[in-house]
Amino acid sequence: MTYAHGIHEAPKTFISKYIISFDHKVIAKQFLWYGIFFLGVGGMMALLIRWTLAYPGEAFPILGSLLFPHTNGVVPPDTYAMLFTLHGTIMIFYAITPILIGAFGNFCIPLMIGARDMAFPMLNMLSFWFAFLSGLVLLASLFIPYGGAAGGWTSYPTLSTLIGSPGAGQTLWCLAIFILGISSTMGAVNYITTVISFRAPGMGYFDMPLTVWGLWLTAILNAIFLPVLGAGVMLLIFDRVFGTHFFLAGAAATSGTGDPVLFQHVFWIFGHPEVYILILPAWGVVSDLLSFFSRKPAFGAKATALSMTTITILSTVVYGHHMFTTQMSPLLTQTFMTLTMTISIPSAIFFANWLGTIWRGSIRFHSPMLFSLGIVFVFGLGGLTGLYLGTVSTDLYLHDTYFVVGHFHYTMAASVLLGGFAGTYFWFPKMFGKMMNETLAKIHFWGSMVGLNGIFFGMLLVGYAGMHRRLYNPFVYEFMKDMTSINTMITISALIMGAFQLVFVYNFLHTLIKGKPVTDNNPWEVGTLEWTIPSPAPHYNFKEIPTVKCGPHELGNPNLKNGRDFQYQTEELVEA
Amino acid sequence: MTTGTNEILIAEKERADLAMTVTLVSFAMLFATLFLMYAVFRSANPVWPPMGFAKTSLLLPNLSLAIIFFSSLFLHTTQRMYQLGNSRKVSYFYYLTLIFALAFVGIQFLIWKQLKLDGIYLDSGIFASIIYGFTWIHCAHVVMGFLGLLYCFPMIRAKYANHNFSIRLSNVAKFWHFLGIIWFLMILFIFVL
Ligand SMILES: [Cu+2]
Repeated sequence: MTYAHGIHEAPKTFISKYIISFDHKVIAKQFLWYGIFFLGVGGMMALLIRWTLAYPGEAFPILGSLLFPHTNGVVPPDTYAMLFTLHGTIMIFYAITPILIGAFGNFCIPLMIGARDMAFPMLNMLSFWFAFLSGLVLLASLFIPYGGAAGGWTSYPTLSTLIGSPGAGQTLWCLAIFILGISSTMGAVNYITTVISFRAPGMGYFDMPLTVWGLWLTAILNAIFLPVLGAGVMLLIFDRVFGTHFFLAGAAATSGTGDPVLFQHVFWIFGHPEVYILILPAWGVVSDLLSFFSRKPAFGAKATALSMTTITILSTVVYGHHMFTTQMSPLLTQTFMTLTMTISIPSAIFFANWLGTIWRGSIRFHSPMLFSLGIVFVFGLGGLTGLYLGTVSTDLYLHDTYFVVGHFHYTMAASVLLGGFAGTYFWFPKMFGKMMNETLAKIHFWGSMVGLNGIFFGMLLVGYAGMHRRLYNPFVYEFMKDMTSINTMITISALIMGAFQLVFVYNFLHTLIKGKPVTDNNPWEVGTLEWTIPSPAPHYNFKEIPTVKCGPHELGNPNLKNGRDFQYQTEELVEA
Repeated sequence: MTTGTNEILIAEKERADLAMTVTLVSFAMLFATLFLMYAVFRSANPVWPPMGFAKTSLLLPNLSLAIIFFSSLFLHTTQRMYQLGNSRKVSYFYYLTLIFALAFVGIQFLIWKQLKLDGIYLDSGIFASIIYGFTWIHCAHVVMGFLGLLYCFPMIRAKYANHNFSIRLSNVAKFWHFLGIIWFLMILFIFVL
């Protein structure tokens, strides 16, 4: 093992320090700001959508008349389609991906495996600026004639071909996604190589914190499946710009034209792994934090890591469950259903391990722990509702209803968002050398929990009752008339959720600007490598490359001396 | 650092190899997706080419295949000569590689011209879409590969035969050979079969 790679002086100028930085910690913060910005944009879009569903035909308060002067502040139908399209796109690709993978991936991987930086710092820097460019392209699409993409985040043809989406918005959407794909693939190459070749001496794969496991598996999925989406959107661009016929409607067998459903296949071959790309980092973080704050070793940590690996592999062969209603042959639907159900086994294993970890632990209810427990709850609900959608017979009824929307928000939005917050509260002292206010963090947690469960459980209910997704005004249907009040409840929950995020923003900014520097380098009292160095982490992280002698979850051992109930990974393992 | 320089160089090479492997897997997935789509279209059409098109002439495609094969061979020889320490032959074969790479792009343009002469236009249905779309994507990668070759140029000029050069050259070469294999598959699927 050698570590002499690219050691250079700490940068001096503003630009080399904060803009064109090669330092993984700075790039992590760039991704964090980027992600939080888009989280705000996507969140605002969600509120506009919800307002329309609760109060159809009424002006959106305050901002409405500014945004939609032609309709006196009412969200117009075509804008509504654009809003739900870009809400999904932004939240998935521009908020969750940069925060969980870009920010925590960059920050945690080198620090937790005892490396001084990523394997390829330059590639890392490029990865951020490609993401930045992609964000600009997407935002620019909002300001052109016909506006941004409006064919749904899945951008199925024919909605996304020139017939369904005239104007350049959809083309720019494809381009933005393609550029972001390049960015994420660069990141993935970097993460995979770093984890394999930069682990500190003595650190085997099972000595890595589960956070790193999650991020590493995510990177592998990214490297394999993002190019699949890349090929799909590239051909879609060809169809739109150059007039090729890949996804144009028409019976391929007789007329030699394209096949719109083929895009759905390509999209979901990528799309199902994407779900795990988003959730794996959050699973990793939770698996670690539950152990840290229960003051005992992670129950079955090895089994958790292996279950996550199994899920990663299985996630590549189940994509057909998104397409049961596309006249797929029953043989295929049953195969995909069975494979999908198989994922329950490893999921149940690590879920049980989470419960095993907190079982009889001396739990410290700090904010990162509260958020982690929140994830256990919402992910449980999200996972269980998935069973109804993975089963052909129930999915035929539930397909494209709000039940689906509720389900994937519980898994992808709620779990991942809470994971992002848990990680932010947990690593903030290491990132910025300051502690966020605990009381505000707890207020943020409870407000968010009430809000998001109101929203997403409400969605499950109206979906089960038959409310279709993506409708501008579902209440024109007779059977929907009774569901106005529950939709209003969902919207009020969304407003509550939004309001409590302001607490987070205030806490984050206030601490950053006015907060006192931490005196304690290890405020949470845990033993992973990043807590062996000063806060904030110095340039080049580790003065000496640490030697790892034990696992990341050595807590609560009664034989430990010197008043600590945990040991650092650099210390010789004390037998329990 | 107490570790020897040699050890550092070996570790660096291992890292580069690993990263390049992952990168090639990514690129392979991109092309695999295209071939998957091809397979779907192909199996959905009882007659291929569809819509009464005739098969295209094989002359130019085969010529381009030969050219990319020789460019790969020359690039490989460049690496061999570098290992043997023959710096004069390194640049000789390197320039040959560049010329053949350019020739490949030239033939590619001729192929597109020929297609138009044969009445296969961009909007002539899925057969034309596949030929044009796939060759565009391949050609874009060839241009990237060519830029990669140029990226080695300053070191050739400076006879800067160091460790860094060998890593750079070997990564570019892997990508270039990869493009050759993809081109072979494309010729086979799109033009021959
Ligand atoms: Cu899925």
